[in-house]
Amino acid sequence: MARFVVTFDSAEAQLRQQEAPELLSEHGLSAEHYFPRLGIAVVEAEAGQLEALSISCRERSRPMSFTPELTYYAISEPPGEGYADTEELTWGLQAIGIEAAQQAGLTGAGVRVAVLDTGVESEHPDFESRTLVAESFIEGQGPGDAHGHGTHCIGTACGPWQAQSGPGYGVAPGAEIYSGKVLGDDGSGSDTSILAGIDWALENGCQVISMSLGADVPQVQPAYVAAGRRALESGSLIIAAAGNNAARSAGNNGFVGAPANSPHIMAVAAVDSDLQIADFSARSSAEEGGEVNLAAPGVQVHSAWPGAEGHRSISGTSMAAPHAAGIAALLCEHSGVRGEQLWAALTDQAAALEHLDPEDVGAGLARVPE
Amino acid sequence: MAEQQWVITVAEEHRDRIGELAQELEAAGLRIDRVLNSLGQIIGGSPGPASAESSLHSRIASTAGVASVDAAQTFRIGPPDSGVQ
Repeated sequence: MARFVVTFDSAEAQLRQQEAPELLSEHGLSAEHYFPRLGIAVVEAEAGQLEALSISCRERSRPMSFTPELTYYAISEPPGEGYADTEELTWGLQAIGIEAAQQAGLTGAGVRVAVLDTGVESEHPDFESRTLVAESFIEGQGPGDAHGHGTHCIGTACGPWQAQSGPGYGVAPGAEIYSGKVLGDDGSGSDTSILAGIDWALENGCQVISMSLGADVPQVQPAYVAAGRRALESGSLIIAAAGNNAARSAGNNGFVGAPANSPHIMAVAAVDSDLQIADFSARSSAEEGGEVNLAAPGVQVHSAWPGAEGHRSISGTSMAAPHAAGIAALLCEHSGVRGEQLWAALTDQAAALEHLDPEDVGAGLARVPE
Repeated sequence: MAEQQWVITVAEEHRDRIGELAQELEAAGLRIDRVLNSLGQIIGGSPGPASAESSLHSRIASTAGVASVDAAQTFRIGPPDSGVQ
């Protein structure tokens, strides 16, 4: 037995008030926690009972859906001393609750995560034995990473729980890695390469697309409105960095820039190890779609780096977005949700950060499914 | 490719004829750089002098099946040695 939320999404009062509780009873489900105004019930049931109810409702053309009940967490204040990297895990993995994934054996297996960035050092020892597909959309440059940013972001989203040296730092170590080089070795790229990268990720059936890039322009870009919507329609969620254009200590809260400000692209802000908003992390803009949707660890984030150095700690909303992308991969494996539903699951699962402004952190801190 | 590039978003109801539309735009004078079939977008630019760009832009924008024509922007992240990226 498990707990489920059953929704009768209808404007018809007669259906919500009379027929729905009768339907529940007919299928042996208690109507004790049924809310007729909302048309929503919380029930203890076997999945089979709900399947049967779903079939009855379909036969009578009654709109009904069900989802497993989620547990919500409120973090009213950060832990006393904050998080810190340990020998085993980065502070970021601890803060998002990676333990739950480790206990459940959830690794993102079978999920394809595209990271569109400066490429990847595919020979990095922490990526040995991983399924890794790399492509370049920059003229005259291969898929390798001479910058480091791409390798770092891939490390956070898809790196290992146990690294060759230092703490584990990757959220979804079982996911298939699709690295699209859309920024050149100098760290710059254009819509041409980025949209080509998104198109490639969709062609390859990537369920999650992580983009730690942006332009400091407040206007919503029509090309990304269409791209974000078409990605969701194909069952793929684009997760982007909110932007680093704030300088909060100087009184400037910044704004979510393009492409994270597109209504169908999820914007992720950065928090530090005390779960405070990062000084550089951009606030929601007034544009439709310019809201911050979620927050994730993005200050002093330890992850993979090319060359002999191997690992490096850096900060940015660029580091927050791949934490959220990794969690999206775990959710994808966990419950099979895609596109719009994956978006909803990510925000539903987030831990409220009640000491912070939702304009800064959206639904709160991204969390691993329990 | 220093000259201006455009992102041409194909209208929903014309997405299944994106290849045909690309040919029409090419015939109208657009240089086609990429056709993005999954997204329903075409990337291209003006092969002629800068002075001809605005009339080409109008021709493309008024072609049936084109939802929007947007100037391609440049994105940049911090250098590898910067603390915030």
